[in-house]
Amino acid sequence: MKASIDGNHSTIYLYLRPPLCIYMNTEEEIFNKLIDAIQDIGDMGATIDEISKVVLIERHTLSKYLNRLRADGRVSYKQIGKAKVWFLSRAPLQSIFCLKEEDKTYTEKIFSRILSDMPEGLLILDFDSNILFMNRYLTTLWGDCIGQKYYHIFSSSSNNGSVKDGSGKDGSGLIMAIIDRKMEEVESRGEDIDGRILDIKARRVENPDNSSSIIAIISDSTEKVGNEKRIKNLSELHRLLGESVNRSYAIDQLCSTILNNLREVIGFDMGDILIYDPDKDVLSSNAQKGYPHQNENSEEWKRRIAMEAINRKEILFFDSSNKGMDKDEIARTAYSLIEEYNLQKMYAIPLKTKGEIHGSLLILFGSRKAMADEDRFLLEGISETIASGIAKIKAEEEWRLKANVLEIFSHPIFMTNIEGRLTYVNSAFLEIWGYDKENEVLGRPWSEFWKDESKDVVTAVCEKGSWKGDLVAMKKDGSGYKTQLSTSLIIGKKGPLQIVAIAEPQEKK
Amino acid sequence: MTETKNVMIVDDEADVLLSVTQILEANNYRTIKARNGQECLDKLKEEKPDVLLLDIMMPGLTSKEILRAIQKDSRLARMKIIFLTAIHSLEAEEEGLLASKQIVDFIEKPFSVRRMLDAIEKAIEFND
Repeated sequence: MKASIDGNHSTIYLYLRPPLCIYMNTEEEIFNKLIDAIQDIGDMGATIDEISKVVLIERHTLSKYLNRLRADGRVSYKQIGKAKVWFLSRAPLQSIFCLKEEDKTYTEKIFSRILSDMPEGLLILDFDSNILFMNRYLTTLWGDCIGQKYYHIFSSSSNNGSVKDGSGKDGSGLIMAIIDRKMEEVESRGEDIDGRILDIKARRVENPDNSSSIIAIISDSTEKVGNEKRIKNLSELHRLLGESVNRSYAIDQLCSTILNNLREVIGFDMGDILIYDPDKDVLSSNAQKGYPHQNENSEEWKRRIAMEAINRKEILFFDSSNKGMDKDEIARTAYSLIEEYNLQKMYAIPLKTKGEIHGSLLILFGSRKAMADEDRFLLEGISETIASGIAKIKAEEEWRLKANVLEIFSHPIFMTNIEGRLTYVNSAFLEIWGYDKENEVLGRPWSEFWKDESKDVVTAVCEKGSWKGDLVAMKKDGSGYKTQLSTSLIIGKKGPLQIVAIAEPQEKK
Repeated sequence: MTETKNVMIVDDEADVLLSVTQILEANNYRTIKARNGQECLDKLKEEKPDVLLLDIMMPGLTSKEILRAIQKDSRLARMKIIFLTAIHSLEAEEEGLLASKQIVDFIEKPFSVRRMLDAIEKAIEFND
C-alpha cells in the first residue's frame, strides 16, 4: 500500500495493490465447493448458515468468498427479511442489470453501462438455447426474455428456431448449427417475430469452467433494408418513367404506363391515383382501383377538384382531420368525397412543367395507412415527370402537324447542317429537283444541287445570319432551274445549329 | 447616313456570343459582349446600348437581379431588352420576368437569325 498527500487539498490518496494470488488454487477450490453447496441445497436458494454447515467455513469468511463470487457474476442473492438467500446465477451478466446502482461493484457499474449503451444488440445463449443475457438494445426490441428459448423471439410459429431469411438461409437455424457444433461462427440476415429484419453475427465462446456459450451481435436493419429497397425501387421507377416518357406516343398511353409502374414498382396501394385531362374533361379510368364510379355526381366532383388545382396553379390538399374548417365550395366538395369514400386525405397536384399546366393528378388516399412525406414528395416529382412527358408528346404532335405544312407547301424547303450538308428536304424539293426519295439527297453537300457557285452562300449565311438571292438549281437530269433562294441561320442553346432555306421557283416547272 | 446602333449581347455560351456578335456586326450594328450578368452590369456603367439581347439562364446574377439593376439606372430607360433564351415564355411570365416595359420581345432558342434581326429592328423603331 502506498499513500501520498496532495498538499493543496490535504487529501490522502491510497493506492491499493491487490495481494499476490498465492492461494489461487485453494481459493478456486473453495469457490467450486461453495457453488456445489448452493446447488445441492436446492432451487429455493441457500442461506449463509446452510452453506456454512456444508462447507465448514465460518460466516464472516464465507461472506467474503460469496461476495467475491457475486462480483464475478457466478452467484447472486435475494434479500428476504434480514437474511440473504444465495442462488447460482443462471444469467450471470444479466444479474448486474437487476442490481440497484448502489449495490453494484465498480466493475459491475462500468460493465453494465458499456453493455447498456452498445449500439447493437448483444445476446448470450447457453447450449440449451436458453437466453442468458440480452442488453438494453434487445430488451427494447423484445422485452425481457431471459431464460426463454432464443428461437421464440424469432418465430412464434416454430419451436425449432426457424427464421425467415432473405438469403434463403435460416438465421436462427444457423445458430442451431453452432449449438450442434457444426459451425463455430455464423453470419446471417433474418426476420424476427415482429417482422423486423435482423443482421446476426454469432459465435461459440469457451467459458472459464470449460462450458460453452454463444454470443450473438444483433442489429435491427429493418430501416436500412427498407431504405435500400426503396432506393432500388425508386431507381427502377425512375428508369421506367424515363422509358415511358420516351416510348409513349399518346397521352393516355403515357398516363396508364406511369400509373402501372408506380403501382407495380413501389406497391402504391393506398388508394386511387387519377389523371385529369382538361382538354377532354376526363379522369383517366385506368388509374381507378378502389373507388370506382359510384355515381355520376361523385365523378363530377372529382373532375371539379382536379380542375381547381389547374385553375389555382397550386397543390390542393384536404385532410379528413381538418373537415369542416374550410368554407369554400371546393373544400366542402372535397370533404364530402372524403366522407363518402372514407378517405384519409385527398391531393390534387397540377401537372406543370416549364410554366405550362397539362392537367392534374388526383390522389385519393384510403384510411388504412398514413401517407409518408417521402411518398408525397415522390408523387409531386412524378407529377412533373408526367407533365414533361405530356409536354413532349404535345410538342411531337405539334411538330408532326407543322411538318405536314412543310410537306404540302409547293415551294422547295430544305435544311443543311453548318457544313452545308442536307439534313431535310420537303416533297416539293424532290419533285422540282427530280428525285424520288429523300435518302437520295440527304447527307450530300448542297453545292451539288446548284449550277452556280453556291459555296459562298453557306459562308454568307454563317457570317451574316441570312442570305437572299437568285440561284440556278441543277436538277437530277443535269438541267437548270431558276430559283430565288431565302436562307437563315438557326442558332440553338450552344451555338449555330442549321441553315434553313426556301427556294422560290422563278419559272414554271 | 443612318447612325450605327449599339446592341449588347449577354450569353454564357461562347459560341452563341461569338456567332450573334459576328452576325450583328456583319449587319452593321456595333456590338458589346458580356458573358454573364455581372459583366453586363459593369459594361452598362460605361455603355448605353440601344438594344440588350439577354439570356435568362446564366450562372451568377439572376435575370431578375439584372433587370432590377437596369431599371434603377435612369440612363438606361430608353434601352430595349430582348430575351434570347432556352426557357419557355410561359415560365418567364410566371417568374415575373416579362413585367418591365423595356422588354419588347422574347425569342426562344433555337431561333432563326432572321427572326432576331427583325426583333432588333423593331426594338430600334420603338426608340426612334
